[in-house]
Amino acid sequence: MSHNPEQPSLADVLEDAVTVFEAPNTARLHGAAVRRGRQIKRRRTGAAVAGSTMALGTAGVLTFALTAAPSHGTAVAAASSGAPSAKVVSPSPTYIRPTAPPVIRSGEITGSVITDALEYALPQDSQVEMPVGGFGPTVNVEVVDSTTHTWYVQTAFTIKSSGPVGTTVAVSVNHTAQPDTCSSFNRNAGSGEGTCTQSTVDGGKLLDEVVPSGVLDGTGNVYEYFEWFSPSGYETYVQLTDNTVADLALTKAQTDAVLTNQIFGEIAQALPADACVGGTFSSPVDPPSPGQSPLQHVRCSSDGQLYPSY
Amino acid sequence: MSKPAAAPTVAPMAAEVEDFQDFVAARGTQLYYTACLLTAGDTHLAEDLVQETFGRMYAVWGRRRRIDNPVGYAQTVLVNTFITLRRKRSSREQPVAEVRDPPGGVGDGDSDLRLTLLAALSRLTPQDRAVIVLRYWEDRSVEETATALKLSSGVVRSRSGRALARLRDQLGADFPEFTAS
Repeated sequence: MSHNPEQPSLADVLEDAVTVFEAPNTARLHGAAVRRGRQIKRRRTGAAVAGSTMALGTAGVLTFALTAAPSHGTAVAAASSGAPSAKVVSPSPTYIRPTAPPVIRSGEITGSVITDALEYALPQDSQVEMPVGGFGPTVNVEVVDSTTHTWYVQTAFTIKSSGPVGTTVAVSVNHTAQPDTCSSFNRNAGSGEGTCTQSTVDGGKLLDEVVPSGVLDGTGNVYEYFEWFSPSGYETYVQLTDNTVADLALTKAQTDAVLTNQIFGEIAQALPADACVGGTFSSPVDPPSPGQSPLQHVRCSSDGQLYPSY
Repeated sequence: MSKPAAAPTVAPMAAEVEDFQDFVAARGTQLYYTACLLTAGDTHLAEDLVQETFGRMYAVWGRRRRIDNPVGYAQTVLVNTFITLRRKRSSREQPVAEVRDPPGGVGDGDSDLRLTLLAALSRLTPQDRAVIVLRYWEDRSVEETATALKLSSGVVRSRSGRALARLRDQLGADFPEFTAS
């Protein structure tokens, strides 16, 4: 097609069209990208806490943090006194919350299944807005943790909190629970950079790990991690991120209910058994096609196979 | 199986962090505009897509030398994330007849024309929209677009032609003569 200079090209028209959008805040984009990138890297490395390269602190600092760090106690008290719980963003006109748990079939843990499972497991008075400016729904479907060799699925999205930004809720279900303890958490996080408490919930071990704002990224967010090791041997992991612990949208009791929801046990059972047992994985390699999801694969030394990973 | 005794280094080195920050600062706006066109004006979804794209790049940034063309790589991740997301969400979404008003509202004729274009884009399939955006906004060749979308060149040409025809039909009197080149 010849181009008449007096006629606008489609490129011109598109260029003109984007002028209706305000330029984004690239600093905010960068902060969100770092959070998301650390989340991906955390799962890839199997570390207890992402991004912590801080020097070890002193035992005295740790003692202070354990004593002084905020916890979910405030939120639990508010919920038990009748305050609204798990406030969420008004749903989009097209939003339809699942009213029944998704059907779980081995080998068919799709992105929709894991996302629907989390929506189903959240408190019934909550509604999940899909993308709300923080994290949209992001899904890792059936990938291998190259450190632990276990298969897992993961999803994350944002629900509204009492603070100015929403709470990012990320959930992953691991086929095989890992031998994490508060000691390994503190070793990975760096003493003084967080608190960890261990308790028993529904017959399984629960680690509740709080990393104060400013430790993991430059955005001032606080991170709270929950790792629940089921009596039957799988692991559910929830990560909450918000401006402060007080703003986190889920109470401790609500988070416990998510962690122990039976739907995640069904998902764990449907995941394959650990990969590359007895072997080691190569460093991640890019997939054959740029942009292929997942972005990386790892090769097993014992069976020579490529496995999807992050 | 046990975890490494030492904490793994999971963050890029300081210089790489600055490098990544510079990359986001330099490319963030363009990538966001691309996402706005892909989503036909859904700025929330556009921002999510860009954050996901940069997040995935951050996760591999220390190995970025294996990414020959970071700009193209980001575009490819963006469009594929968009298409994948639309597939996942399609079962719970309903067609959108009108695009939402952008920040600042509308009122003048030029704005109306821009919104008409965005509305026309929203009526294309996600893959057709991706073809149009890559070919005519990102100025990628047919072959590059085919590689990014994992389609054949012939399919890209046919989709491009069909999408352009639909755009012309819908834009009608507003852009009666725009050319594709």
